[in-house]
Formats: sequence, structure tokens, C-alpha cells
Amino acid sequence: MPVKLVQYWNILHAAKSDFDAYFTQEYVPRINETGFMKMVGSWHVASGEGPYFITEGIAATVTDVESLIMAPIFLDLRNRLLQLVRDYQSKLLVPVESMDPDIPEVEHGYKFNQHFNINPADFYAFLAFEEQVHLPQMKHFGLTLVGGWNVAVGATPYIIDETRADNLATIGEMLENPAYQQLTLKLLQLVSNYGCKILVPSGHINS
Amino acid sequence: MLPCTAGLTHGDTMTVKFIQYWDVLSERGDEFSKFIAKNYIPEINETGYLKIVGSWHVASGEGPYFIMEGVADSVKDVHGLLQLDEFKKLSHLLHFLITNYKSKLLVPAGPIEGVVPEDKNYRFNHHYNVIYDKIDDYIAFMKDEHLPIMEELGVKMIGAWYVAIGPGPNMVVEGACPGVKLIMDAIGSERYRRLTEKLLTMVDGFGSKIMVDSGVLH
Repeated sequence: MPVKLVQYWNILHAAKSDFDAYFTQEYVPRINETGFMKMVGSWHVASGEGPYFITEGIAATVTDVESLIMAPIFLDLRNRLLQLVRDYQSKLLVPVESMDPDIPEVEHGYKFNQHFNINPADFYAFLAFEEQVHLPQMKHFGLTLVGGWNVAVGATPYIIDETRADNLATIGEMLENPAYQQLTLKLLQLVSNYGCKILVPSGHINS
Repeated sequence: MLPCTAGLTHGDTMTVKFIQYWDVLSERGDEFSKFIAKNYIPEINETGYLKIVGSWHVASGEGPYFIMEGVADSVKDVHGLLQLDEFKKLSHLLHFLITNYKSKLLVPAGPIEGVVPEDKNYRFNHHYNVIYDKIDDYIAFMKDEHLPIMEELGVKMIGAWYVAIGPGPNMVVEGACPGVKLIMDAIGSERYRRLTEKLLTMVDGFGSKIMVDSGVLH
């Protein structure tokens, strides 16, 4: 199963144009050239907590990610990146067993991601709810399920449900829908530390 | 600091806000709804110290999921409420039904004329810390660019607040809208992206929330 390396940061104001050039002309293509991971999307957090800039790469295995992060080229690339950004952090995501992630060559559309911890006592009830109620309902609201992820390395919450919409209006209609609020209230009975983000393309990789 | 003008709802002029946040405990949803509607809100309002003017669900952003918004004429009034035995009892009972409780006392930071039209039932709030040595640039930016552009994008700015007491970030700027679609149109626009990128040069700890009416007050 593919795994995802997500990197987050805020761009230093004085370095914005340098960042844009470095990220698109060096950071992304050089990582892709290693063959260990492919950068598939970069986003701005339009609603939710920062850092404001998010980029995601897909690798075939955890071993590939390990090879990447140990490679001298990546250490050099990241060191140069860190001169242009602040608040850098990263997460390694592995798919929830029951869900095959939908991984495009390059990301498209907009993301609506929910993150939370499953209440330990409700683990099996949560799995049933996800499969039978939550994810089908999200599809009913017009969103495509991208993947369910466990945060293998990085800051919790440790579950991320990732969905995609072709346009922001679909996400807006869902958020206004009382049925969505009821669905979220049911989810909240099974999880803690709940939050969500709306991501819009930053234009560096996908637009 | 800018002149303080932050009336909050439907023409009332209030000077401070007391915001409470929580998640409802599993299996306590029905009990919670009854308690909030029949006891917590009316009994707080009856004290005369604080008026509950909003109850929200966080549709997008970090939890806690439930937000209750009260307004008072002064910090002294909020203090008066917190000292009341009636409030202590209500708070004690509330804590049997909820978790992750926190509260904030917000004082106006201007320069927003905070009258909320009746039809603006959704909120799009930003929160952050203003970088100390950028404060003058920030104030000019908010007045000359951020507020007018947000309003042109359809988001009416209704309040700017300092977190006087409670967890940070220490600035909350409130926007109101008649529908989430307008917020989506705004956040998908190039103007909003440029505006946010400029704001981020003056603040840190930036985040935002979209809030929808929980229905508890109606």
C-alpha cells in the first residue's frame, strides 16, 4: 500500500519569491528525481489551523520514505528549504487497512480533511460507523473519498479522513446541511480531538 | 491599540465577550440539549450579567466542536457572573455532560463597527498573534485592506478582539455571512489568497474557523 509524507510550513515573508522559485524548480523536481517519492500536491489551508502551506508526496513503501529522508540530496534540499520557511513539521501517513487510497498522478480539486483520535472503547463501533455510515454519507454530500490514514510518525490526532471535491461549493453546501451536522455529532461520540481543514491548491504543483 | 467599537449583535452595543467551548460527552447529547435550552442559557440570561447571543458548531477548523458566545457590558459583569452561586451550580452540572471545556474573555480591539445584520447566520473567524514589531503595519493593513476586501468578498467583518483571559492565539477577528457558499467563494479567490499571504507577514499562529448555528438558541 502506498504511504504519504506530508510536510507543513509557513513561508518567510522576505523569502516568498525565492521560495516559489526554489520549491517549483528544485525541491519538487529533485525529490521526484530520487525515485523514492513523488510530490503530488501542494495546498494552502483555507480554513483550519496552520501551518498555512502543506505539500504531500506519495511513496510505494515506508522503506522508500526512509531511503529518501536518509539521502544526502534530501537533507540538502530540506536544509535549503528551512532557510525560506518556518514552523516546519512533517507526518508519515499509512493507509487504514480497510481502505485503498485514491492516489492521482497529480492532485486536483479541493480537499476536506477530518482528523481525530478514536476513543479506545469505541474502536469497533467506529470502524462500523465509518464503513456503514460516515464515509457513504460523505459521498452522498458529493465528496470523493481519497483515503483513511493513520499517522505513523508525527503529531496526533492519529486518524485523517481525506476527501476531495471538484469545487468549494460542494464543501460549502455540505457544511450548511443539517444532515452533515448530525453526522458529525454522531462521529464525535466515537472520537476525540476532532478538527478539520479545507485545503485549496497553492498552484505550485496542482492548480 | 485602536479605538474600541465592537457592538456585537443586532444593534446592541456590548463591550466584552465571554466565549465557552466544549465537546459533548458520548451518550449525553439529549440530556445536554435539554439542559442547555431549559437551564443553562435562560438562567445565565436571567442573572443580567451576561447575555448568550450565539451557539455554534465548528463546521471547519479545530475543536472543541461546540462554542457558546455571551456578551456583557464590562469585564466586571463577567466577573460578577463567575462569582455567582447560580453560575457555579450551572457550570458544575454542565461538566457532567461535556469534556474539553475552555473559556476566553475577549475585549474589543477595534476598528470594526460590529453590527451584525439579521441574515448573517454563519461565521468565518480568523485567529492569530500579531507580531509585536509589525503592529503598526497590521493596524493599517486591517483598516485599509483586509476589512474592505473581506467585505467586498461578501464576508461582513463584525468584530476584532483581544483574548484578555484564556488560551491563545491572542487575536480573534470575526466575519459573518448569510451562507457558507459565500465563504467558499471568498476562500477560493485569488484576492483572499493574496490577502492571507500578506496577513501572514504580520502574524503567527494563524488559523480560521467556519461556524454554523447549532440551533440551541431557537
